[in-house]
Amino acid sequence: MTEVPSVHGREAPSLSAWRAPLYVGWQLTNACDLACSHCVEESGPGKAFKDELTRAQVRRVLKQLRDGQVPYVSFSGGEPFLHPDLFEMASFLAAGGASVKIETNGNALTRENCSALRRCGVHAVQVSLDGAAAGTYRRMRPAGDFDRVLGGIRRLRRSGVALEVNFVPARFNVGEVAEVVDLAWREGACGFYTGRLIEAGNALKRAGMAPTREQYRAFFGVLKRKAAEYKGRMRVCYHEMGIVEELKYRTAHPAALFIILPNGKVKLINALPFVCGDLRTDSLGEVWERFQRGWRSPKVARLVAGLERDPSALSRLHRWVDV
Amino acid sequence: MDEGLAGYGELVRRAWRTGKFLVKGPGRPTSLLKAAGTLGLQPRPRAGRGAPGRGGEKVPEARRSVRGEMEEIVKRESAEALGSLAVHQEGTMKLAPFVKFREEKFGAVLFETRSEKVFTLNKTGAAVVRAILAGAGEADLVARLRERCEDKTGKLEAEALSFLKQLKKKGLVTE
Repeated sequence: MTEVPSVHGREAPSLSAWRAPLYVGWQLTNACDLACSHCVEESGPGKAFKDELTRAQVRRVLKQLRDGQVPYVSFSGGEPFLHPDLFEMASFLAAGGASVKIETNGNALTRENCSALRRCGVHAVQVSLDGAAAGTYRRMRPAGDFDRVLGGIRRLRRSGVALEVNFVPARFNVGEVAEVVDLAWREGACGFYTGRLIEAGNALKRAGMAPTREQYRAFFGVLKRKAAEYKGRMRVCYHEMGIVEELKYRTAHPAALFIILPNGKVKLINALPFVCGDLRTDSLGEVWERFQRGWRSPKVARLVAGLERDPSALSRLHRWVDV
Repeated sequence: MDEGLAGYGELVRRAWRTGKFLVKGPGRPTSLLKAAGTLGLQPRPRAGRGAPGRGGEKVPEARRSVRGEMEEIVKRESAEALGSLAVHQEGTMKLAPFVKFREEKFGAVLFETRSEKVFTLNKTGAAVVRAILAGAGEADLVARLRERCEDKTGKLEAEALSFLKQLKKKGLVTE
């Protein structure tokens, strides 16, 4: 038995060895009830794509994921709770044997929704919490309500669904990370996830949002200590790699993981504009083959190589390019 | 499929044919459609994106599609029920919660989806996990493997038990 350090680890078998993706990140809608300062997807109220999947198309995609035995599917957005079929979709995949995770801003964690998540067999809900206090939180999520999210988190835990907390660092909240880790633990989280701010989407439109080099150094130092402090009790996971480094690494070692956009198009990776298929018209098998070829495309290599000179190319991630 | 589970399948089919969806038994009657809703079915899709309207022309098609789904779910639930019966036999093992198994050309993969750890298995490892999923206990694991695999080197027992120890140590298999 060989342990691959992560889904996209260096020791992972080549993509062609897998018969289907191991992990699918499905962005259910581009609509969101918040409009966060850092949002890579530039989601917000009224931002749903005009051509998002219909219910019939969603069902076809679900069946393909189930038949392909994709073991892990995460639903995100936009805000996944705004999708009318979220619970049915989660139930369908969970009943078929997949682990289903939902990544949410936490606004919709009512008692009814938390109970429904439990009944659906959702394995974890990841809630974004980018501050230890309401003021900081609201700077990242101007329409957000810190207390409402905390209430939702508590209802989620009472319903028995596993909680994970996600923290996006910015210059104004990075100093609170230790408190947020502690808060996550007190609220019953089983995992805490963070990394560097992805300077794309809305984050690019706001000058001075990214933490400074010194702030990052202190940030990762705190996380290292917190990971040791909570070892065996709560996973504190963080990626120190910046997005350019990450993309270079992923080009050399692609993961068996792809992203389904709200309209059924499939991206190689979220931070790049490359699209390798469309699940409205193509089968999962066809898209999976193109995904493998896509990572070998010179277009991908050229763009990633150029990012070091011009990281602003990341701003074009929503101008999709076929590979 | 055992008699009870076959009976359940028949009950669901009869309910679908007759439109009588209440299951009588101890406690309050349960709506099969309500129960089905929690399993990903939409017997009467809500109005919305691409949904057929109530009483519209697409309803028979939707009914056929839902019926197909129900059939699949009955099959799957029956298999799961049999699996869980096996788990309750003393001495048997099962994959830990959130550990997913998928066969691959090179053997198989175990994916612990909470920690997002991936373990690749060769064909022998895959055979061991298949035996566990089929209800093998530690005592009869090797015998079950011998029924299916050739033991050319004579090391099958030692290797299988050592592998099982690793699976347990990593928390991938529980008893």
